[in-house]
Amino acid sequence: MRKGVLLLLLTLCLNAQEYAVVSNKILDDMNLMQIRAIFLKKLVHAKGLHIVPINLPSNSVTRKSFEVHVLKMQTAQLKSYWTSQHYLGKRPPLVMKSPQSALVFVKKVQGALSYVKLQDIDASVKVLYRWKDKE
Amino acid sequence: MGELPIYLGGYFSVDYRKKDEEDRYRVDNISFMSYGGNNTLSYMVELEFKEFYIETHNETYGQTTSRDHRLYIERLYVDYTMSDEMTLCLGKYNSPIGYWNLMPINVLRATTSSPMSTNVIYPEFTTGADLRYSSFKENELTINLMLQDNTPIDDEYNNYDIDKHYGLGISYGDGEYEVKVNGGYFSKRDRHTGVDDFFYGLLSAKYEQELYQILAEAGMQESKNHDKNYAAYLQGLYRFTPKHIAILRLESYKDALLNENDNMAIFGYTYRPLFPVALKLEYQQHTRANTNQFIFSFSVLF
Repeated sequence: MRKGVLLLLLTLCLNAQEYAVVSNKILDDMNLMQIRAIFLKKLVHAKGLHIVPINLPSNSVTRKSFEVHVLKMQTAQLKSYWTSQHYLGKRPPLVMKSPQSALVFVKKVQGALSYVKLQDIDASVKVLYRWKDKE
Repeated sequence: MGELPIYLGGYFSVDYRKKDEEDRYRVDNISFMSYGGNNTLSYMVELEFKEFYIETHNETYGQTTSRDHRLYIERLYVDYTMSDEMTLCLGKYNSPIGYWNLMPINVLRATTSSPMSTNVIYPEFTTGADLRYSSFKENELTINLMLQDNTPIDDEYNNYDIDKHYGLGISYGDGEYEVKVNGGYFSKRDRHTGVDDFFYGLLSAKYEQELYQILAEAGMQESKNHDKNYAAYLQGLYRFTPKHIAILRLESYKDALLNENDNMAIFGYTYRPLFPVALKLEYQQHTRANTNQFIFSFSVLF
């Protein structure tokens, strides 16, 4: 019985999807609070550069995981947040249609950040933060 | 990246208030705003009709109607990003004091009414500079330095007609909890009584979870010509769903200028069919005579 439970846990761990927040290589390392602030448009400059956070589409599983694990907010909270930010003159991050286009944007634009599955990353971008969830 | 996108928006609010001897119907706010910016500069312009139309039915005085069709300048400022941490705002802006004053429009705030702390402690608007420092390390730290030493933009659109305001605000938190301290001085102009100097302090705290929020503010205002003003509230907000929200606020205040004080309990319910739309019901139970009231409002941000 115990072996069975351990095997199940091991299987779940092996299946856990890993993601990463990535940036253009020119940017310095960042902590979780800074990444969160960038995607909430509280922090708009770093290393003298204008920061451009890139979201994936709202139906993206990666985006959902990012919102829960990195922003620590549910979709409804974020909708409410961006409604109030409209009054303060702030817009939500740009949205790219696919992780591939987000990665191309991050590689090309200094100050760009996004998030993708870890398996999609190559050495041309910088990994700022990694997290894992269950598929 | 170098272009200057321009966004347009606005909001409006209508409400109905029922007191023991009076009914009031009001078109309160009709507002238009525009904002935009590039990598270092951004702007905000907001023009507003305030108390556009009011119709009151009073058992003693009968029916009265008032209209104010003047378009006021509510906000007019430019933000300049000086460095990664520093931003300078120049113009007329919402004084970054406490939490409530940052979201002062009906559709965004928790209840139709605002706590008295926003009216009797500090100036809601400042015309001048706001130097802001933000740091995001283990926690979020923000420091605001507000400076006004000039005549205000649209002096009729503020709770105090001020020509000086020096204020400091420090907030610290991690997104779930946050505490904020504000203190400052302002000089109020009055065509009847002349100039009066005021000092104020406000302590605020917020705790936010997905389902609920607890918000508290307590402030005091002092002037050599008047007794102290004080105002405090504790508010709990519970989200049954993102669309259905219940609010309980307990308030106490003393306004020495008007020689009035009151304690009140406010029970509110908000329905948001969409995030920028709010239908709100509110009942206020006061210790002051003849001030208990029921309020219903409809407000939209677009």
